[in-house]
Amino acid sequence: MLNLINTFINSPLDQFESQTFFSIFTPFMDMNNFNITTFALYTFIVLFIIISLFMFTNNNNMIMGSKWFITQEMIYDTMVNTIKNQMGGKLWGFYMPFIYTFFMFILVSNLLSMIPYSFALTAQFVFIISLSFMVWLGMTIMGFYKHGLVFFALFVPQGTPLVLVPLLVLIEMMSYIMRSLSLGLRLAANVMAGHLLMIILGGLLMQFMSINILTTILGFIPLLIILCVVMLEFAIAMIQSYVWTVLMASYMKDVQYLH
Amino acid sequence: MIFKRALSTLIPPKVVSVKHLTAAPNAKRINNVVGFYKLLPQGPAPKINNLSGPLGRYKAKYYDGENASGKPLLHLIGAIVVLGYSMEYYFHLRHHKNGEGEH
Repeated sequence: MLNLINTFINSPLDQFESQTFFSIFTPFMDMNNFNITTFALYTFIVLFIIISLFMFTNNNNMIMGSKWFITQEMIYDTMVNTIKNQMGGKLWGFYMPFIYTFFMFILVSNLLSMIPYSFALTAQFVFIISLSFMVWLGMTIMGFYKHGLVFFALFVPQGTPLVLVPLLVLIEMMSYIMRSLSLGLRLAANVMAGHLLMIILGGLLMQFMSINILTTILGFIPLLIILCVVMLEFAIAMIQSYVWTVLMASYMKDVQYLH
Repeated sequence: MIFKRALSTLIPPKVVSVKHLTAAPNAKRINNVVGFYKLLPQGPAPKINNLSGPLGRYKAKYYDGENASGKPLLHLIGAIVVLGYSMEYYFHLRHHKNGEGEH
């Protein structure tokens, strides 16, 4: 009998493994960071998709875009409204392109990872947490640059009794520093958990359905549940990119306006 | 006075009439206008494409005007499945043929 299991990925964690296609070896220094890996390949695919979404849909630079451009306008409009509501004031426009870029990258790579046999860029903890740490560090530097030592006022909520100030500053500072981790951890953990869940359920059902004809027919009932899980993962893919955007905008607001 | 002005906005002015056409001072202006409109391109607008080559043809077929459809998404999914499966086969599956040494 045809062994169906073998057309399937053997370990649930295989999908997150990064393979090297091309590497440079020198006896003088470690060039590992320049390797072309699965990760680099999929980063280029995401870049190509985002660029083509703009180049192909702008209707040859006419005033009105083609029908495809509606998707771009919708995403842009959502981002403008979200960032405007989160940040408020007059400064939101300066940081809108920055946050929008993050949203597009995370949205496209999340949705791309939902294609079977694809690679989940946003489930790579090292990459995503470095990204969130860089964003956090940049914002902190900007806060000090803009406000000087007054930036520390961020750690004292308004109307705090003087006795509680040392304790609150400690707590607020901890929560501020933890933002650098939590922003990336939230996204990567969600995506990774979702992909693991899908592949484990799918693998179990594959084994069950390949026993005999009866189990193949019976297997369609749990298949419906897995279909629901896949739909949930699609929702998570979109929601997590939105959550990143909202949080980034609100962190930016804290840094810009201090409360 | 105000009444007159209100009336004048209601009644469209006589821009072109037999009397005006034959009048000498306006004839040249009308000629200019006719000449201008004659120079304008006629017929349906030509199809332009700011991309050339295979990408331009692909864009004209699936993105522009009435041809816009969701097929590029299906093409992307197909391409990624082929790419991903061939990579998975090359790096893992070919080492586990016929159920040997699973996991």
